[in-house]
Amino acid sequence: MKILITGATGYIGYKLAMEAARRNYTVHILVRDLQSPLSPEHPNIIKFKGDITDKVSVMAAMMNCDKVMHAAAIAKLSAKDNSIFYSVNVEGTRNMLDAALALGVKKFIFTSSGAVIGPSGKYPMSENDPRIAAFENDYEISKHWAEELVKEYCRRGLFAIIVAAPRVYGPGHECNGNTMNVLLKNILFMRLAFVPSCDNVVANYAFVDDVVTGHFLAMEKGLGGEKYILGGENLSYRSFFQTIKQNTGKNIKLIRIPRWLIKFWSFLYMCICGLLRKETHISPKIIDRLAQNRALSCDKAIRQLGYSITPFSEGIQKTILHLKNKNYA
Amino acid sequence: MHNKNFALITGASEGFGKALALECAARKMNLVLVALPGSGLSSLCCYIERNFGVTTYYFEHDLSKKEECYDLFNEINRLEITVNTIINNAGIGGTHYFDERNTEFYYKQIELNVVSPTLLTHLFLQHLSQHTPAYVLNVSSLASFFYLPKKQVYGATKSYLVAFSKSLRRELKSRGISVSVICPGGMNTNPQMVFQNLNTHGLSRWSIMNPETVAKIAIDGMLKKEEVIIPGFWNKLFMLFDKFLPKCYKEMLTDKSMRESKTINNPVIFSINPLKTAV
Repeated sequence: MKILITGATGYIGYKLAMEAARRNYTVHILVRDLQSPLSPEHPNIIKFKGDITDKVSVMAAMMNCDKVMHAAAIAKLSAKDNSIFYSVNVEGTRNMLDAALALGVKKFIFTSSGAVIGPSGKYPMSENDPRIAAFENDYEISKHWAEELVKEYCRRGLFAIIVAAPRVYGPGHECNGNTMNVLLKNILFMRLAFVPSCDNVVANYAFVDDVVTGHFLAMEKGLGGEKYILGGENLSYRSFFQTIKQNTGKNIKLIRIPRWLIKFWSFLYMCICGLLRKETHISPKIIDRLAQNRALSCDKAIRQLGYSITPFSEGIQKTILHLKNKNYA
Repeated sequence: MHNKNFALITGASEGFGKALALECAARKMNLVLVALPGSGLSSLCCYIERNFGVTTYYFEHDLSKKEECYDLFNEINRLEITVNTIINNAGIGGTHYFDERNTEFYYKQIELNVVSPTLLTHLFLQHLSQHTPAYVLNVSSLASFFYLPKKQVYGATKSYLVAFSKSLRRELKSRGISVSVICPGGMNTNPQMVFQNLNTHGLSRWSIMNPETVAKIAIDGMLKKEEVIIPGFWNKLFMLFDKFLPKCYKEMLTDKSMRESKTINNPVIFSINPLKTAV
């Protein structure tokens, strides 16, 4: 059985490729740099040089695969040149879908984001809930349009499933898609954490291993054209930081700072980065975003796929152990 | 369920209409929502009932057809509920040269933007006057005050709503019905608009507001019985400029802004969903 996995040098894609290889799939991966130190190494993994924005390389890598997991994306909230969100996340996905339809791929799993669902109301949001606030940035729009494309190709006869991951944490690469590990590393290193004063704001945190298992569950049991949220526990910032503190085994200071101060600081930081022409991922707008409730319900995935959630404290223990082994603390 | 008052919101499936529906629900108003078939009203109603504990009904109608306006009225009467608030929000927008669209498009635009709010307000007048205080909120646009190129028919339909609202307001005041009109500027209503707005610069970008922010201002204004609601600092400033700047200077500004505002079409959405290009 052959499977193509894109984004294999990224946080989730790497784990998907290794898991598929472990499950005895012949895994094709599409990488921009064959020598990339981030790419997964396994006897079952075959590397193809290319890029999802290049149709020819997509076709070559997908040849003879009956399954596809498309996890490649620009996974950050801002970029100097915002057109890459559309060329990679939307047009890249279109190339993947075109090739899958042309080559008769049997199952296509598209990794989307909780960002498409947006902020939550009184209850955690589920797959069918309407978006209740305006789209905010190019990343959200590009992933939304990519989802619309996937649905369109489903209507044209492709068996495709959308899985949506929220804020993902857990052992893995430190890259754009893995802001949670960067945060944890900083907390372990500095032995203090800045907790925003809006500490009752709730968001969903998914353990990376759950998300990976969820992809395979979706591939086995998911229904075509459906979307599944692969999340974790909904936690307030207060319990989020408390749980981290309890699991580090160290005396970590939690310092509460008001939101306006964080916004002001982020504004200054953004200005400095602007002057130095450095790319920044922090802006007052993103701070506002972090102050919104983003609770999600994984009930559909649990019910239909048999998805299960690793408790946050257990997931965080594993993550801290991983970071400690890498001598970060 | 009987004899409860309801707010009727047209074009409630997306953008500003959806934001208005959520805002009204947050204020514990019961809702009757109307939008085109297949636009996701059922999941919106589900969400609203679960999160806000209000009663909602939804109807899928194309209000640019006058028969469907009558159908809507009859269906609501059959439910034996009363409407004491009408928010005429459904409309067809668009920024294009006059000859870039065919006559059918403009006919439909006028029917939806002008005829349907007129009919609906007339049909529900009895509901309103029997359940005061009652409210009518018409959704116009800042384009009704600025005669911009590429907004000929759109701007004119929106000017109609301002004139209609202001006059009707004087007529209905004594009957306990307050008529308001809101004139928003640019809004982040749907992904396509957000995409365009992210790619605009300068003054027009600063003035862009999120629909949820405007919806709050709209309902506040409606309940305070304001005549014309202009949301946001920049939009208010534009109105002030309009009063004081000399005519020739204004013409220069609008010419310049039009030359700069190229409609950025995202290739994606236009190729996958031709239905959406109508709006």
